[in-house]
Amino acid sequence: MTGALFFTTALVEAFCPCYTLSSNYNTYSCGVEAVAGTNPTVAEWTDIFALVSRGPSGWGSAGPSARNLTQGCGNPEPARQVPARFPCELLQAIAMVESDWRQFCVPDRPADQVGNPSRTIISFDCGYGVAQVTSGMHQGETPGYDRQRVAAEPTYNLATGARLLADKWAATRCVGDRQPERLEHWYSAVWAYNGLAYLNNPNNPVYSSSRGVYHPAVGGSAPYQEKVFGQVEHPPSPSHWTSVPLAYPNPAEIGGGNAPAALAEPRCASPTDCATSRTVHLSICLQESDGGTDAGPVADSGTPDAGADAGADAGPPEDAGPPPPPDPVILPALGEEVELGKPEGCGCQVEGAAALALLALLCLLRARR
Amino acid sequence: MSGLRILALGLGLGLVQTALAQAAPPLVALLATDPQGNSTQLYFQRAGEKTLAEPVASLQHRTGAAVQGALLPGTRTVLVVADLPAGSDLSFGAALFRLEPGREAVLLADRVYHSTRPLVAQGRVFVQRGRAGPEPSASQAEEGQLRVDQLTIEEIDLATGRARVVHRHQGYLAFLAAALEEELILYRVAYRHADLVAVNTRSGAARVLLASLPSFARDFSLDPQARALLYTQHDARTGRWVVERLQLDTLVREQLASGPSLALAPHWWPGGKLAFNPGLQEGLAVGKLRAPLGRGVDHLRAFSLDGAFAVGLHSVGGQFPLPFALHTASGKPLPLAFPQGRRIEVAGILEGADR
Repeated sequence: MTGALFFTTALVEAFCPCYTLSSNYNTYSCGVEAVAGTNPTVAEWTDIFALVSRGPSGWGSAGPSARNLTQGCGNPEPARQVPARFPCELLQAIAMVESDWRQFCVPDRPADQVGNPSRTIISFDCGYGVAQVTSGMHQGETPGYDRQRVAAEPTYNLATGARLLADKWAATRCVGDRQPERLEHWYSAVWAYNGLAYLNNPNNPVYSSSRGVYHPAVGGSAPYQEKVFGQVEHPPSPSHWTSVPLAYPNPAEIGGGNAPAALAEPRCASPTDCATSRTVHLSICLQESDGGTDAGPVADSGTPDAGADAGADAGPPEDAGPPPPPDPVILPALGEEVELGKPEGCGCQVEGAAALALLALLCLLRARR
Repeated sequence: MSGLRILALGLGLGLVQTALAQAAPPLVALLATDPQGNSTQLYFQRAGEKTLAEPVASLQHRTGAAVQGALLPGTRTVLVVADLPAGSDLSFGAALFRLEPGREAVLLADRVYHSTRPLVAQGRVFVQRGRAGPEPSASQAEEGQLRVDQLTIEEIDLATGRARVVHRHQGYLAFLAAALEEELILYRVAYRHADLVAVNTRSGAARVLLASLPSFARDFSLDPQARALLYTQHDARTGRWVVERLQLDTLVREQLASGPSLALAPHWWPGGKLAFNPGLQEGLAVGKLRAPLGRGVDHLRAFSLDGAFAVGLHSVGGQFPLPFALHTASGKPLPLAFPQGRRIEVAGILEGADR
């Protein structure tokens, strides 16, 4: 039994802002003019992500410089500096969350940009291109990279985003033993990529306490890093990337009134489910470049977390699309006999009164016969 | 017909009429959001009816926006907080809208905190607003500090949108937990600190309810008869999540229940009972009632004025939450139609002559 279908003619919003330098609506002082261009294909993007994942040693002059990463947190590897490299899965997911893999688009706002052909996507607060680079992109700012190329070149833009992600890796504390090839170890850095704001603390009460892994097809509110992690698990299609069911840190460990503390190896199956466990994952891009072991789930080589289940991955299978529609709108009937105590509430009293009323009427009718 | 018989007939008919009126399934205000679109529709759906009603109002917002709403009691007006098309920082990128059947949505206030629900108390509407502060410096980040924001609690005039600041706080969060009479209960979070305060909506005077508590509190529910605040908290000693109750007059605090999951979602229940979810898959527990809607977490949103019905959302992580209506006495769910493929939010139960 189903309810009436609801048909809508509402179109998916194009949402292509272009708050370029010369726009009359450039209230946030964006400092670089938009550049005309068309987006790479999905296949071309995949190559770009693979290139950028290798860091400056891979992208060379196609991107800016980037700092080395600190690898190791003494559990057991001592901290040391290594050339920056990035899980391509995270770059892909971040770019999807930030811009739907768009360096360019046909502007639909502000008003004085409508009618222009495809050009750099620029948010109202001066986020440029596929990685939505905002740092250094305002008027008067002089960052250590080429702002024109950030606006004009997809690879350079993405590499600049990676450079900023490396900065966040340095600004945040260890996750696990702080291994760059392990996707989950970037949890805090990804949080910081969107800003070290309380909005991204998973203990913020604005978020549902029963939220699972973020699913783009369902949407809803979630901290930024959960949206990125959920995107990794739910790619738009298999041709974009392969689903990876990431593990999450324990929210009780993260803390409620601070930036993320140093975190143990993430093991939770979802942001709110630590009764079920998952293992962390190696980036397939970095494993190929390192010529190391097979990519995928990693057995913890460190000290086991107390109380953690050594269970198999409890995540969903590879998902190439939205979840199936909800069950028919009629909710299931009560599935078990329930003994209730003394009836409460006005409903029962009213039902009793109705019975008395009917009895009164029957008596009355009988008396009249 | 004798007088006695007339009296009996009248009494019987009156009781029948009362019984029928009070037993009528609730008319529920539902908000349905296209998860990949930029619109939300408002429905007034009668529980128990199999046919979905037509939407009565619509709202445009950011693609993929978080949308939460609250019904203004005694009216057909729903206040909605939804994200506006904006930049990457969603913190204060939402707006308060007024939705009424057959009318265009009206934007009342911007800079509203993301993913919050407007608080309606005594016919007045309050929201969390603010402005983002600067990003923490490297040394501040090293200390574990987050961005400090300028936060306000504001009353919004529903006719004009004019805002009146009731409370100011500089920190991470000033969360509207509940309202009791003329006081708003706020949960405030700052660097390594959280507290609960009560703020008088007229004078702005604040009194401290809890000077310090672990900054994990969530899912606040006010028991109006007991004058107590229920919420979930984390107990660092046991590592478990607990339901705490704070008596607002005596400030006595006690733990009522505990579980391994933070999704306890406690809520008061008519008759002075506690409703909560013992586990992530165990559903609602109230007295001897267990899991009336099956596995998942049940978040209660509202009760009918007579306490006969409860409405809320049944949640299984990663899937669309499902709205539900329950008969509180029997625990039996009522059919509640809703548009498929939409993310649903329950704004309340329409009561009174406006039904």
